[in-house]
Amino acid sequence: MDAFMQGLDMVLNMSTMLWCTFGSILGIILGALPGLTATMGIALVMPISFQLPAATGIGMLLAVYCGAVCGASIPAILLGIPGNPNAIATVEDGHLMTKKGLAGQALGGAVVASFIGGMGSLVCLIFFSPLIAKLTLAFGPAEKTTLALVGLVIIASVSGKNILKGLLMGAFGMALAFLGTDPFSGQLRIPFSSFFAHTPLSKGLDLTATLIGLYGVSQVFAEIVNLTKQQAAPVSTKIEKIFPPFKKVRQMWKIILSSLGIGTVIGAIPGTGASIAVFMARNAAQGICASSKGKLEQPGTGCLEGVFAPEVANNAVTGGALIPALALGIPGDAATAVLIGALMIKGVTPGFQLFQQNMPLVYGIFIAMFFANIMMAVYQLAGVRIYPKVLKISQKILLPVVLILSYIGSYAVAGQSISSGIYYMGIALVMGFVGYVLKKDGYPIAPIVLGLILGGMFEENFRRAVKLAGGSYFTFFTKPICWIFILIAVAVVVVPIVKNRKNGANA
Amino acid sequence: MKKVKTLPFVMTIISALYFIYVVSSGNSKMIGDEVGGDPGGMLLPLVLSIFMFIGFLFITIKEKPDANAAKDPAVTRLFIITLICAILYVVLHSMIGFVITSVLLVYVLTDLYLSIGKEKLPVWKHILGAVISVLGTVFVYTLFRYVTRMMLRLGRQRVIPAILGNSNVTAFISCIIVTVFVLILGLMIAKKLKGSAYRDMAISGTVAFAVTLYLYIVFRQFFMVTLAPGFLNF
Repeated sequence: MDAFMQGLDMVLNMSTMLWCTFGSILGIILGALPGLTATMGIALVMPISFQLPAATGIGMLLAVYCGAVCGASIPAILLGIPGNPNAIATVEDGHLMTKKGLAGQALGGAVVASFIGGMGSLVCLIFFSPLIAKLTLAFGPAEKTTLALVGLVIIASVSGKNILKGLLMGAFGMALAFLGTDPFSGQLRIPFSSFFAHTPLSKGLDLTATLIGLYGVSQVFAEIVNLTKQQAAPVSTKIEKIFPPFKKVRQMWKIILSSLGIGTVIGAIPGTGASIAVFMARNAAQGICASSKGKLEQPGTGCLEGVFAPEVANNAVTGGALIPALALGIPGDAATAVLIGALMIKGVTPGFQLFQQNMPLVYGIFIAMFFANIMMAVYQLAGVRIYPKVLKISQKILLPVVLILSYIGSYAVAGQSISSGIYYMGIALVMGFVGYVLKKDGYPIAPIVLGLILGGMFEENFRRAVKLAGGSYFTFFTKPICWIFILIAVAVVVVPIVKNRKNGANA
Repeated sequence: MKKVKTLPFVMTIISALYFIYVVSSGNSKMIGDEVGGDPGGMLLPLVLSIFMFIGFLFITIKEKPDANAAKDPAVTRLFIITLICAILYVVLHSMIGFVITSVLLVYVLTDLYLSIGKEKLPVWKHILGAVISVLGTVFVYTLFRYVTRMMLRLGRQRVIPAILGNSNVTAFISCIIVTVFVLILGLMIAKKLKGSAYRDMAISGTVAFAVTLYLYIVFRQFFMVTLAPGFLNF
């Protein structure tokens, strides 16, 4: 109880509430702007979170995360363009509702659905993450090594169409993580070490600057191609009734529950993410509607059912993705990978130790998530007539602003040192260019982030495990938990390849 | 004619160089590993370099460049200018300073992007717009720096209530000063420059002015991050 009260104290103060408000509104706006993702939003405000106490900073990042996922429904409903991949499945029914003159109800319904999804998955997060974290008590270095391998392989396999490219990007991320000082011998592991020994690179590649470069700067380069294209049609901002009829919401309880379950479970599986969950939830909703004897309308006809299912699911992913992130240190998606990065920079290592040694902070994170969801709902509903106007801001103005924000965000990591700040800006620029070139050629970015985050954990535990086994590599094949993780990793790589071969043979 | 895709080919070479570097660096063992057992710091980088080399080589051989991929010269031009501006911003940042480089970067890029598909104005007019943006921003920056410094001093001397000399309050006052100017500029653009050829330049200048000064207030005045003063070393 004491830990809960301390957690409450960390969050229930004016500063945290104001920063969560800022994060929530910023997240909604970022989510609403096509091309800007939740991950990029979190990466951009991460430098601000450094300057704040841990619970306040994490609360603000969570507010951005929840806001951006929900905000993506605005352009999906009004323009028929998803703000980011989270809202792909909302487009069809949401935009059809706008054409029918029901834009207000669709926007309001999306907020209500997102709130239910966020809160429902938060309950699961509170219930399951301590249990899963407790399981890790049985994990030694060998188990932790194979667990890191699973996290890396899963996200590498599912974050792009080509598994090999995903795995190569994971390896590339790990290679970047190994730059710097060898944690066991203290020897420098950077090329031209006599030159770089006295630069910040000797401490390794800075995670914040790298993340900002990969998600912020690279996005600016990637969006340039759209500047010469015709701009989207003017947005209809005529919005009347906002709240969906309560009776209708009550009738959709089966859709809400199934979408909540799908979103939370899919979110909790590392590497899957909302874009898979929303389609699964929509498919499940179609089945429920078909068996409702006409009480519910079929998704695809411009109805609330088609908006509720994906919107409950995509916000349920936020809580679901935090379960493995907090309990195991394995992120559920790219956004939680960045969140873990923010936690680690704050000196907080996710896993059982966090639950054992810093329970007030864990409660603080849960409470912050609770408020982040409330604020998301309040501010999106309050501004439901204002946010559509944000869509009128041209990309031509936004891109230079995102570029300068990315730069100053990475610079701020240095704090008082100008030369270090400029070095971090250089890292952001280089990584931005690298990210752009890779994305352009179809290489996924998320595995690089995972490699960067898990690389250190993997190497440390790998070497410790082999050392404890007296130099034997068979130690990974003598423990049942390791076997489970190895089999999962192998299955994740092999099953899609076999499936693709079969599909190719059938076609 | 190009026979292989550039990116996987370059990555194959990088992987090979990484392999050579790892091997030439030698194996660093754990401190206190007298009894042995530590695989050393070379093993994992070595495995990664071999995996990356084989993987990228496979992609280089398997994937062929898209012969139909036509490059739009307008996009290429925009990309190159953006990249050059982004590099110059980092290179010149410490010499020229945060305020001037930021105004210039945002102004140049916004003005460039907004002029896409529109009637071209002479270059000197764009340069004049950039100079006016820089001078305007420096003027307001100097103004609020003067006001906030004076308030901090008077607050310490108890000439004004101590709360007004608090750094957060002075940052808030800077914010109000900048907001007043942004509103005035916004109104001017909406009322006086409607349909004018200079409207886009005015928008670029206002965006550059607002973004630079708000960022300065947030990072320097609220969070005490040391931003490069450059020429504005006062």
